[in-house]
Amino acid sequence: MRYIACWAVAAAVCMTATGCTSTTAPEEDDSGITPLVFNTETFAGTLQVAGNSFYSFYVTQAGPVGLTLAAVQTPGGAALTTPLGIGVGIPSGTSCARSAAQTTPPGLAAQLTVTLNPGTYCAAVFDAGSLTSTVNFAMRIRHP
Amino acid sequence: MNAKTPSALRTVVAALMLASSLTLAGCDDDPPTTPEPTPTTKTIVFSSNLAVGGASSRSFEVTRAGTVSATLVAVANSLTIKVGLGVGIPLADGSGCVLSRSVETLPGTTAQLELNVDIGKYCVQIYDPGTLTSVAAFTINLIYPS
Repeated sequence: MRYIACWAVAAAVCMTATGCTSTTAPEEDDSGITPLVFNTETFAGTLQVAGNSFYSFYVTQAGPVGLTLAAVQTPGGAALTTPLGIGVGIPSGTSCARSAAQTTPPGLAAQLTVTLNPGTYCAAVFDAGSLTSTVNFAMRIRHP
Repeated sequence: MNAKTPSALRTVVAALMLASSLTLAGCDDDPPTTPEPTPTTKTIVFSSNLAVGGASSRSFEVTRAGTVSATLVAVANSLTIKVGLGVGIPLADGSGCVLSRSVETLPGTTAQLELNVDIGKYCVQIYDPGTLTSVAAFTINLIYPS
């Protein structure tokens, strides 16, 4: 019986030692992941009735690109809420072939966000039919 | 168990009970949770003088998306003078503040402007829309996410 008791104690020690094996996934090696570094550019200009304008920028890493139509103003500087068209695409000569676009009033949070691979792109501002006179605009482009 | 139970048997039972309790108590695989930080805001008081026909602006940087609120608290110690108040983005060359939204307003205690913003640099501006007849001291309270 004493022999059995010793084995019971030994078994108890083994159960305690092996009972709590948490299986965790091995740590992933993230040394190959480059954190995104963002650059913010400001595109400002004048837009005529039925006009359009674009600005080229270069994306260095694949990632989200945000366009913010920040301001639409009278030539005198008064802020307007007039919606304009904004878009992103690939520049081609003297134009910007837009692959994504929308019409939006100005604001300070991105109205259009797309994911782009590295390369040269264009951010466009155009009259979507709301203008009755020339306006000034300012757009922010935040990209990797 | 009583006094007649062999001591070795009592030892076996005690060992098994000990093993069971240690096994159940020791196996907690739940990882510790890290509480999320509480969102905070920053308040700045922008006080200066506004010239007749002039404008005055101040830049600030938002490090977390959220809501910016601007309150024109005082103008020339008067409650009846309307001036322009706006929020926008600073020009890259530092030459001014391009306003995204603006209002002509009397001073008050509640925000006259509230806008959603992303991370980035912004500016608040006060301007004379043609109502001033002399230089006017002003105070603006600005609250933004930090």
